[in-house]
Amino acid sequence: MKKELFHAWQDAYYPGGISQYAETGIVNIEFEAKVFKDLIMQMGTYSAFFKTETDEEKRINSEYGNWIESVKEDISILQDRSVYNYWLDLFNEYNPAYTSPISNQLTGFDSLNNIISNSNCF
Amino acid sequence: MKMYSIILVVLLQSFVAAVFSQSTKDGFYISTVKNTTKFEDVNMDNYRSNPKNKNGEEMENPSSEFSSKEKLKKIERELYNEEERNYMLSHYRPRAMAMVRANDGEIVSVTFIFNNLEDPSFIDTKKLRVLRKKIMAENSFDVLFNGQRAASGYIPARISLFKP
Repeated sequence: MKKELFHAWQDAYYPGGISQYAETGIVNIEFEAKVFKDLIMQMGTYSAFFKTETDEEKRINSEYGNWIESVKEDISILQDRSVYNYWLDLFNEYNPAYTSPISNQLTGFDSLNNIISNSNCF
Repeated sequence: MKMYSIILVVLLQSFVAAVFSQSTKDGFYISTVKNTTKFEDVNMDNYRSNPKNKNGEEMENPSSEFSSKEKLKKIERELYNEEERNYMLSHYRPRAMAMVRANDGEIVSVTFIFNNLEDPSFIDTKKLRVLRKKIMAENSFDVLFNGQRAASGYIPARISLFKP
């Protein structure tokens, strides 16, 4: 539900809406929404990386959780675009359901930044 | 040359020990990487198959609901006094990572994580073991994948600890 609301926010925020990213950029849109959901979650599953069957999946789940927790502690960490885009690349690789060409227009995750900068929760 | 090699090995071991250390106590593997200390349930690796539907296909897009924050608070209050809870919350960002059986939401394993814990022996592992047992017995998650329940597998879920 929270993720769907965030998609509605993205649709309003990005000029022309998010339907233009149905092919190139859908992975940016989905990952940005999942990071938002994971940042506001206190009890529950991380939605971007939740698989732990292989050692690699377990490592990624753990390191992603550490990143999300460090961002919750210090929101300025989110501003490191290289780290955000590292996770975006991994999300694209490990989630076939959302795999797409990455949109360079969206690597700044501006709708997430905007909603955070207008929030007094961080 | 041999002396330099020995010194190099000793320095390397000291560096590795400073950055990463691991021990086992009361059913937990205790490890520290950088500023994060984990008390990992020794049974955690028994529960690592990914959530699948009845056709054996992996499921995506999880959403979850924790059974009862009030029950968790009650458990915390029974085991830790207010001063202990507040101290840990303000200093160590305590949290748990539960392994949840995807088909019925039962918690089958709990790992505890703390940040900036100078000395892991500060944490009473016997108490932590009781906390783990009670969380597993008295809490659960309702987990769905794209609105559907899984037929098998496990999924990790985060639990915030000692929140007022």
